[in-house]
Amino acid sequence: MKKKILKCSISYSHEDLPIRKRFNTHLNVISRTHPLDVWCDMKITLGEDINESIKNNFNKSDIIFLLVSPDFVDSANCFETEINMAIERHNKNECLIVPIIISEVVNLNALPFGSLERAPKNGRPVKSYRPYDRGFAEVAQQVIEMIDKFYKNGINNTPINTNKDSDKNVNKKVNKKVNNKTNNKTKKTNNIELTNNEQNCSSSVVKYRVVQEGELKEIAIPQGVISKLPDYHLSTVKFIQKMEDILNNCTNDYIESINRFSRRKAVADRQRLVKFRTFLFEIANSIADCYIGTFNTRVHFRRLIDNQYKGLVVSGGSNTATKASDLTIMPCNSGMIYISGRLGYPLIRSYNESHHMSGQNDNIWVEHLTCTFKDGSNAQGAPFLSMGISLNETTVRTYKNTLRIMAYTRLDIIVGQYINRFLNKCNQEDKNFILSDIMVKSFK
Amino acid sequence: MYFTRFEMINAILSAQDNGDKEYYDLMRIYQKNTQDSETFIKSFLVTDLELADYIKSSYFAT
Repeated sequence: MKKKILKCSISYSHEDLPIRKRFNTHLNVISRTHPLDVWCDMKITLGEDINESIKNNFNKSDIIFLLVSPDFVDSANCFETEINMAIERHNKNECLIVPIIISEVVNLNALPFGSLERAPKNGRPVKSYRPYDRGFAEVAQQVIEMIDKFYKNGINNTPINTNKDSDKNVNKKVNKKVNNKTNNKTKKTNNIELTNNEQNCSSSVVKYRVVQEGELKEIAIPQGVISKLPDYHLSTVKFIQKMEDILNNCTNDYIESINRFSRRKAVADRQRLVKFRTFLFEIANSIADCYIGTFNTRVHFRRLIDNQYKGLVVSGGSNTATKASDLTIMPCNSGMIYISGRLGYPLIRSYNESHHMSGQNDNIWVEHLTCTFKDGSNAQGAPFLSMGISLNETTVRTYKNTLRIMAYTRLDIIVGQYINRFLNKCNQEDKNFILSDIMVKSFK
Repeated sequence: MYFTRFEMINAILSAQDNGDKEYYDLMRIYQKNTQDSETFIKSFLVTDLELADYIKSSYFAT
């Protein structure tokens, strides 16, 4: 059966012209299977009345795409004229409006089209994708599904309430929340700080499991916050790719150097520890580099020695150079490392303040993730190694949710697997390479 | 002068432990090479002779 050619119009700000052109290309791709006749203001010819032309084409359109960005909302023409025309037709079931989030806009829910289903589906702006074609590909998939539904069921819109009073109420609520937030600005809280927009996104929250005061609980991270996070998936892929290379290099290097180890056991053990430290240093730097950035992050490892957790390795490149020996010594029977080892789960400091043992660098590192590795512990069950990822004041606002996702997706398990593989490979070649033995050696 | 990855990190850790000023220069070379490169870097070029001497002297006898 021949499909009806759907007429589409694109409403956008001229500041977003390059991205509109790219979107056109994706619509042309859709058009190969779902015929579309796409119109945008670039088709207005010389001498034609601009407003009349926009009105005519909007009135004929089956689908109106809104390329939403701050410039789009700021544009009087887009925001006041074109959206009103679109909503009027939407309420009469004459067209479908598809808001496509190009870049972040605050108070999106309070805008006239705020109640409509947006693309991309996860609420993440197209421009935050790398490359942003990936974002448009997701949008295109949604558009295809929408067109299929359109062919099947026609248009059955829920009217948009454009009542000015209701807009005012929304704004009042938003302002109230903003004021509350300002008043609470200095108040220390265990909850995730939300912007007014994120508070409004309560309908689209993602639940994450974190350990809160020793218990596994679910916390909600609103979609608005998720969309602002760096691409965690890509960071993990990048990290794993790096780790495979590092693992091979470090184990090969270790195997090559075994026959050059000292015959004196104590010296050879120290040499083993040095090799192990270089591997941990590579892990620490890769985590900082792949997920957050090295400058305002500190990734560190502590080891269990004399029933205390003492610094073993600190990532480099931090703005505040720290020696491993400068890391605060932690007890093995209390504190976050202990709880993490007991529960076998990573802990976030702000959820577990009562377990946090204050350290000498607390004035620098305000938020951190603490984790231990399930393989390798002493007779009392205290893990030999712990890992911490610390954020300072500059990075905490941007990356604290990244820490939560690291905890949720169990970065500790990924890292633990690499440490294990390194230890096993080395142990196959060198029977004296035993974690419990080499950990007790001094490295100075 | 070229140094292996292990030699480089060993020198960085040594400089970090001892609080030596060479730490920052070594870290800069390590980060520039490891962060900018698409491929895995196995050796690092150090043109500063003093820094090269530092790496050599911090390399433990394996």
